[in-house]
Amino acid sequence: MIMIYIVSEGSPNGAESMFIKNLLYIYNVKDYSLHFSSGNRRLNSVLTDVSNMVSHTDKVILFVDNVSRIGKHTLRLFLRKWISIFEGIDVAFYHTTYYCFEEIFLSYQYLSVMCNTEYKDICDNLSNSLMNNVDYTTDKELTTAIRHIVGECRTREHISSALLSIITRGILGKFHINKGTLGECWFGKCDSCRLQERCRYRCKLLSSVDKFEHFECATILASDLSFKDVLK
Amino acid sequence: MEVYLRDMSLRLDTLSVRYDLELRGHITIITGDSATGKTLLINRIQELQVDERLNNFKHLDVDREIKILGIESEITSIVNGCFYIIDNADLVLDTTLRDDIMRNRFDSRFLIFGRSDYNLGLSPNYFGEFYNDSGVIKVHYDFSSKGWW
Repeated sequence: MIMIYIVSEGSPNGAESMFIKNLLYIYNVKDYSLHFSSGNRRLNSVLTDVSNMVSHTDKVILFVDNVSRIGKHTLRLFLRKWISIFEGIDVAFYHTTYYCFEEIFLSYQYLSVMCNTEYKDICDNLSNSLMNNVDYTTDKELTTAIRHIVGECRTREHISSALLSIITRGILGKFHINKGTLGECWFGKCDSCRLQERCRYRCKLLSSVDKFEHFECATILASDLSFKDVLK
Repeated sequence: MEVYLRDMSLRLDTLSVRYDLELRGHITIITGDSATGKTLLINRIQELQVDERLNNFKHLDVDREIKILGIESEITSIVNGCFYIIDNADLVLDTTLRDDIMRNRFDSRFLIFGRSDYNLGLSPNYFGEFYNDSGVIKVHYDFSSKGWW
């Protein structure tokens, strides 16, 4: 039996946690163990605990934002260390490579079709930057336009979080995302929804699996980490 | 010597040393052991800059001015549009300078030699190490992941 250990830097009640639980449900994963560190301070000790539980056929998936420090390490050195540790005990180790969870949804190529027209250009430009490997924070015009919407935010993570909440709040249906909410329409079934005709989600009426596969291909998740393959 | 900034490439070719550096984004941080060529690069650029001033030779073919910030540097603030090489960032980069970098990151470029991320919000994609490839010093990056740009 292959056990999948999922370690998240987030909290058990956050939007990222809901996203992970959605993934497990969508791909019908039964043998898993979820671990939340609720911040980066405990992340190393949580991974240490997990490394003591795993056997060589198991898989470990780390969900982590681009945090500046984890203990005494930068994220780069932290990942290098854990890649090496899991290689040493012959356990498959995967980690996310998004700057922050919210940027997955901001990179969605069809978000501009769903949102209010006032955010259309920003959504298109932001998605293009993220999908084409361009650091949008060095684009003065785009960052000025974003700051006009979200106000002064200190970090890229705060900017993304505030922007995504504002944009998704206005989308018809249950698409709102904030720290503790992940709108159920993103991956849920549309069977009983009364808004089907007016909904502008590109994959409305599809199954949860098809919705996620479409979403994965149309966001920054379209990289070397395929959840479908990893969660098999 | 050729320096291309927009394409994020820096080449230096003198009799004693050759560099071919692919830089990323507006800020690249070079970490790694001492004696890998970081200080040597700075010394060579400074020598060329002095030779340009004294002999009116044109060694540095760049579209912007190169400025070196180190422990003994007299530069205390960032001027828009320049290319900054920051040595010993652990000692040089204080909060004021860091905020200055964040304010000027749209129009300036930064190559930082240090060990941390200095709260500049950079992902692992922007951290590299120098290595010697048959006599040419280049940059190795551990990560080039989508989503981290």
